[in-house]
Amino acid sequence: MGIAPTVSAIGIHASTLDYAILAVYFLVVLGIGVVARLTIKTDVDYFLSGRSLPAWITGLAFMAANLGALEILGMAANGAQYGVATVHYYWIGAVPAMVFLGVVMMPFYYGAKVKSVPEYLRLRFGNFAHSYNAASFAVATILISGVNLFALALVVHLLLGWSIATAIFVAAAIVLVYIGLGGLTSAIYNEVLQFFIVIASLLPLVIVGLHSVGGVSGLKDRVRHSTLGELGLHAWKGLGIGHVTNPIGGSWLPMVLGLGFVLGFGYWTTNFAEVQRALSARNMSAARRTPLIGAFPKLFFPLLTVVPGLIALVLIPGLGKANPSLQYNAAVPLLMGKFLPEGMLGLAITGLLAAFMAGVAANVTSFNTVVTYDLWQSYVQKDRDPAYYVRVGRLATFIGLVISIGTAFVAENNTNIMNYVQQLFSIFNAPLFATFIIAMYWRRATPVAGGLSLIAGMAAAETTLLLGSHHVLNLGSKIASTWYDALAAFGVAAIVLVVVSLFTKPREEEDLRGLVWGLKRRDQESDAIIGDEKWFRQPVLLGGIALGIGIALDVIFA
Amino acid sequence: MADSEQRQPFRGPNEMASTGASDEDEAAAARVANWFDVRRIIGGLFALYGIVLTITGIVGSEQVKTKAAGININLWVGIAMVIFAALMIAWALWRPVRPEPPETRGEGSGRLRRSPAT
Repeated sequence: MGIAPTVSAIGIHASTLDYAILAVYFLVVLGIGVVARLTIKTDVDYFLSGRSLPAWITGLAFMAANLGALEILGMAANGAQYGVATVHYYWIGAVPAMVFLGVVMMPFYYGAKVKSVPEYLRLRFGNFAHSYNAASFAVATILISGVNLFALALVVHLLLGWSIATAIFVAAAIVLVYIGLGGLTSAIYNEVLQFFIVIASLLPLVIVGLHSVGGVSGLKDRVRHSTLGELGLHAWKGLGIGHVTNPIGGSWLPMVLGLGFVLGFGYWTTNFAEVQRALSARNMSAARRTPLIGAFPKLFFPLLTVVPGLIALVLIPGLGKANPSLQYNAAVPLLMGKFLPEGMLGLAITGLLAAFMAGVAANVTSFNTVVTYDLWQSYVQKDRDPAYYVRVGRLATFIGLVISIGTAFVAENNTNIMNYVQQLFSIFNAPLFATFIIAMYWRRATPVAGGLSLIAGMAAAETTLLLGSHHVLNLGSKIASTWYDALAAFGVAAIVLVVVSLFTKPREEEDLRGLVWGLKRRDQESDAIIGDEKWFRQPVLLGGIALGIGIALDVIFA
Repeated sequence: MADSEQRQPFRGPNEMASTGASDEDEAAAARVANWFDVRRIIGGLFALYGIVLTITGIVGSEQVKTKAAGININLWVGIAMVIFAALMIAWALWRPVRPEPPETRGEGSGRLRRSPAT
């Protein structure tokens, strides 16, 4: 191993030119960190980019923060394994939730001027729900950050032939420098940069791949004759309850409710790593537009993930069979090795590594913010100067990355990391949505009930998961069983919240102003800036257009 | 296209802290913010990558030129990246990051001119 031209495990030969392209990117990333440091004067600059960013930047960062290793390689793998129905992760599992966040929930988050998602729970429900949520978020985020770090190292190993351990340490060191120095501004700038590089590397790969299989019709023909068959080309056919024939392996009802409603909404609307990008926007209008602007590239992203998966399926013999270097997760790297000459190969490797590093950075920036504001400032050291909290944030960044390195090595020994992550999400994320949505719309929901519903939801998700994995319950395919876990968590969290609220004392309505629907703050001033009133900046209209395009795409690919 | 939002599509984070500083300080802050404009960073990096890929596409070996199913992918992607870089930099120059001129500042609301309360 070494930082020199080597042949990787899947036969990719990166040349000196490819390494130079990668090295330039790393230099730019570190440079952004150094310059971003100069812009930091207060804790809000470090943790929320001074709440100063325009919507197009936060919107692209919102979408790109999710664009890690699991997203690009995992969705291409699902495309190869399950076919076109993978688009549900975008058009059912993501876009409606992003629209809902921008149109319905963002006024409460941004309007309450909270610095984090757990802080909303503190204002709404007090310390019990807050401390529990902040602590569990910090733990879950750092576990997922470790998984992302491991996935990144695995790709470096596949593409460049470095050892896993070297790759983990190098990536963690780079993230430490640029997030440690520049905080959220560094993270967001890199997310925007990475977004464009990912498109510049994946789009040519798709075009070349399609050209080589004889265009769209050629691809369809060859998928029909592959292991997926005709139904692998349809998003909605073969999803009937009781007789599922689509390769995705679950029926439409748990898919829409479990994947779309609970998992998707839970992830996009309550995961602070996402919401943080919107909270850094410069005013309410920009914050609401953040997830909506992110929804538009999201609608078309299956072209860059699911389609390469299908192309790999028909072009790479033996994909997904016993040979370990031909697993589905390697679909995109295998296509890169097959088609991309030096130069373009370096750009594509840079795009993948940039995306994966940004995924880790998104976890780390949300971790350091929650640790600093919601754990340290809330419960340990209350009234210190801003510079003190920036130092705490930098220390949290360092400690978070050290723990991530540890969990990365744990993930290395866990055979199926995708399942591990899905489990983490269904345990930590799915129960949150029920609690948040009821908290925002039902003023009668009480502090005790809020805390208990979070705990009950997590317990329910864990129980369903254990019952499923020990075959006490038969929940269908692995993908479908995560949908059922999510539904169970949502149902239990909602029931506990409602029932306990009816038997406990609600808070005074005056204390809930600005936090609950129907109770506006009396002193609320408009922070609109000139131009916000333009028709193309109206959140409801933008959301409606995104949903409309989603429905049209669903019909086309039904 | 004459309103403030249009002329000021991007504001660097460090501008917020300089509210109330003298105009000279603000001009200096604006110069720093402009060099740190993400559109210029994207434009610069894409221009560099685009030129390198274009050259590789022209001078590369036959294998480099035809590996991508017969398409000279370096050449085409290189040209596309240079065009994209030019658009990004043009956008950054056309609507630079700059403080509002004093006469358009709103009262007591930072330096963004607020629209009338609704």
